[in-house]
Amino acid sequence: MTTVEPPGANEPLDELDFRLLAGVRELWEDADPMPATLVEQIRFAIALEDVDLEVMRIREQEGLAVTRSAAEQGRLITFDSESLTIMVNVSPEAAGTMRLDGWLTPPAEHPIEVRTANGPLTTTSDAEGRFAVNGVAHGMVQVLVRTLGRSRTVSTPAIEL
Amino acid sequence: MNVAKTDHSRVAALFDAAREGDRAALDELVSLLTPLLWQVARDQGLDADQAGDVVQTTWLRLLGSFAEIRSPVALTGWLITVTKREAWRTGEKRQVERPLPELPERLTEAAPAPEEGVLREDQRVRLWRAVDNLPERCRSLLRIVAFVHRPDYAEVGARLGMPRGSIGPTRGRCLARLREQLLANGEGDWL
Repeated sequence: MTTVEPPGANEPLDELDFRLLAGVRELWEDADPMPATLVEQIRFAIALEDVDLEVMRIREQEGLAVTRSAAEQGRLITFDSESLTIMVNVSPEAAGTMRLDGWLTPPAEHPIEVRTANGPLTTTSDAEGRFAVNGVAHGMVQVLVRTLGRSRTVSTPAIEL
Repeated sequence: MNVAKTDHSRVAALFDAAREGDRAALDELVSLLTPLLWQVARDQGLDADQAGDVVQTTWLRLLGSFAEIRSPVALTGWLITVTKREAWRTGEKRQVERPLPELPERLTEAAPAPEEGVLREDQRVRLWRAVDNLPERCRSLLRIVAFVHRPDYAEVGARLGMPRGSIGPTRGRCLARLREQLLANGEGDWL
């Protein structure tokens, strides 16, 4: 395939090129803006003492479109990584807070920490891998599984509930 | 503000501090480089929720890998690579032809904030139209490179799948196409 080089293709970038690049950046920022809360969410997620993390991915969310930022109704989120799957059901409580019901696969007793905007809530999963945490405030939530017998902490991404 | 956002020496200073465990420096790196990673994830065809999750996962993964990264330039490259890989793993098939998103009209405010940008409405529309006319590969390259500070161009090009030696020419070719359109439409200079 022969391509015809446009004039100037091989020259070093000049002032106009840099203005064009700045303009392209501005236009993409306008046309496809980053969510306003994304940086805040990431900062919350990485404010961890642990650095040796196994990071989970969000595999599926039910009711995503309706309840992405508010858990008015029950919502089921599945996270997974190489070694672990966590299903978390989020349900509203009368006090305006939320209850998280979790289920680890493979099932095992592990210390669980639910990080919230108001500080951490801790519990332990039972032999079936189940755990529950009450009184979770709306806002950023991140679940850490401090797996016994291994140095790595398993972490979900922070999600806005 | 655009200049500050892409100030390489600032990123370099923050990189050193963050690698030593300075959390405030890491937070500032997140502010500076997340806009780039957002565009990378979106350019892979992810929806907004998926793109946000992928970018966050990338930063979480960095926590355990910081010690292995040698330089700020390598950091940018590493972040782009992981973002692309995570995006790919979400399993979404990237559409071959994606139309450019609608450009929202710039609101003409009584007191324009200088940091909001420098492009006049007429220039914006013409530049966006020219971007729309670029081949997909050029559009994609310029979208990402526009969010990168200058010393990182070669590294970033390599991470975007272009041989290191050809990134300069490829970028130059795409920019030259853009210029051609803007200068040849009979409406006078874009300047």
